[in-house]
Amino acid sequence: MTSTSRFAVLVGLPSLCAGAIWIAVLAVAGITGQHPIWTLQARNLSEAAAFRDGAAVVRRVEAREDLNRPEEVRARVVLPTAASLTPIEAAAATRERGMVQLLLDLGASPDADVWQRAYCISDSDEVRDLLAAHRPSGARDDCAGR
Amino acid sequence: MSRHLIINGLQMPHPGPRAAAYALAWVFAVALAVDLLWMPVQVGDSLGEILAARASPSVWDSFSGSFGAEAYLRPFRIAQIKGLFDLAQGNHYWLVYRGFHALLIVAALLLFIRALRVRTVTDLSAAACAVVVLVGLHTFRGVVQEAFPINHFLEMVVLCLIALNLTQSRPSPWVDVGAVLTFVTGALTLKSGLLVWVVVIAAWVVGWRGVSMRGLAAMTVLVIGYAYVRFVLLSTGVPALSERSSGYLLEMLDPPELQRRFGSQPIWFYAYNMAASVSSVLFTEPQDGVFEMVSSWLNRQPMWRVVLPFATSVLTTALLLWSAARRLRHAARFDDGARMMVVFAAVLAANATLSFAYTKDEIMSVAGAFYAFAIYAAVQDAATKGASLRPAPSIAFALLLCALATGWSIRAVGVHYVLRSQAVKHQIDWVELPERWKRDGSWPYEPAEQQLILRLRDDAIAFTLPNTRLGRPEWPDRLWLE
Repeated sequence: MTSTSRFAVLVGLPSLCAGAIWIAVLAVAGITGQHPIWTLQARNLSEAAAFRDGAAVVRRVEAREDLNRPEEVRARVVLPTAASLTPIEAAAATRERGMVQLLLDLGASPDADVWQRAYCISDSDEVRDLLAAHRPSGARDDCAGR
Repeated sequence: MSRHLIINGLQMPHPGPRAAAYALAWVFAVALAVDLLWMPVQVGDSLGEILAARASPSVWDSFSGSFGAEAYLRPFRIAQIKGLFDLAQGNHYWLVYRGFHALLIVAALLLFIRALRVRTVTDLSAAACAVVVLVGLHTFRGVVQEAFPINHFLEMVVLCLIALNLTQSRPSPWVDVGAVLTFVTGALTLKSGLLVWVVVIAAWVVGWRGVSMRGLAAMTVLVIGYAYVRFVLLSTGVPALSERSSGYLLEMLDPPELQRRFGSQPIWFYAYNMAASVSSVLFTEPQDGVFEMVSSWLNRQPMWRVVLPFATSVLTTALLLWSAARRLRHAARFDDGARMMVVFAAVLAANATLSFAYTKDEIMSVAGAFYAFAIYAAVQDAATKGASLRPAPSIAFALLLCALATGWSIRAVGVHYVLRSQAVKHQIDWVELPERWKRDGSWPYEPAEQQLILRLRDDAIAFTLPNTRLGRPEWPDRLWLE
């Protein structure tokens, strides 16, 4: 190898590494089903709502998971500690109106207690307005003490 | 000194570097293709086209119906969308549209490497740098990030690369026919297709004469014919200020604001757009007409993701200018490297002129691809010069170039981040679409149209995509601009 070639190899090496890393990331994601950078995956419907992953929510609902059943959402996803939340509570906690709307469109029907918890868990006016439009009978929007 | 094989007394170029360059192109092509296939068909600027394709009785109707129907002359664009729609046979829309996108990207990478004509290890290293410049340049994002549902800007890149490869080949009537067909396809798809003609003319001037004078004359007649049809027969004119938003200095201006500021003197706005387009390719700033670095600094946004592209582009353009000046100063042989630089200059000027009406990074994607060609020649030069220096300066120069290549490599792999984030955005659009349209009163009445939308939505929702919105590491967002 000439000195020019040695020089050139050093200059070209980063590009070769970039290609190799890219392929390796895709291979790991393809083989394990988990992306090496974005590793967070929802374990249940409530977590899917908490992760704002609308497609995962739809897939789970189509697989007949219960839209109104409380399930554990890991700590620091929407609340500081792990909590048992219904999907609509988890969605309200994200402060994202679209996720709450999606769950309502899919048929979520919170009872008065769940509705009140969802209403109070979110401090977003948009979310609260949406929930107010779907208030079940007997539900109160009094968040004192919650 | 290149590596050679001696066969029957004849010195033949060693196939190794060339094969390795193709292998490298395949690595990037496969990575990009996988990322594209891991993405749903998009909603914005795409669903309307797909619905129109469904309503059209045939490819010919789509082609002929688009004449004079809009302010542009793009009949092939509409015909292609319809052609692929029919190919999907009512079921495989994602596969057909995304598959076509992936095929185009593979073709672009392979044509790019072919045109470099890699022969030596030095060429191979320069080609490796050129590939990351091609993929890492921000204009390239426009050819992968979106599709309408076909990415026509990528088609323009592919057609211009086909044209360049034709000019480098041995002259024959078939090459002429190929060049003419390439031009017609490009010009009737987007106005950027006119760049095919520019590539062939510039290549002919610098000595790549695979396309004969006769072929060149035929293409020139077609350019005149295009201008006649567009401006006289159909009177489609040029895009008006009132048609779309455009970047200007530090902000995006909407059509009313553009009209207010430049309505009486649009020439200043057009001049800004052309200068911004040139600067965008050479220095990565402004992007879409907006000076992102200044804007990020003023708005306290993460700076690395704008400083890295700007710094690498400035240094690379400086390397290009150094190489060009060195060649001029030493009256160097007018080799392929010099040819690539001249063709790039011609394409850059023409591409910027074509984007006079508004600035958009993807419009400059052809010039971006040819920038990578010019950088290939500059790196070849740098490697030759650097190796001839005394040890200490040689090592320092090598480390500088290595750092530069590393910067470009970081930019290139950022495309993966951009495509993952984009895929999630497309998916969210599909999740929300049906109910949103029903609430807005936009939901179609026709059952076949409803089925088509639901089919596309099901395809999009079926993707299990990594969650790039929550609990993500922060470093990708600091390093790469979405």
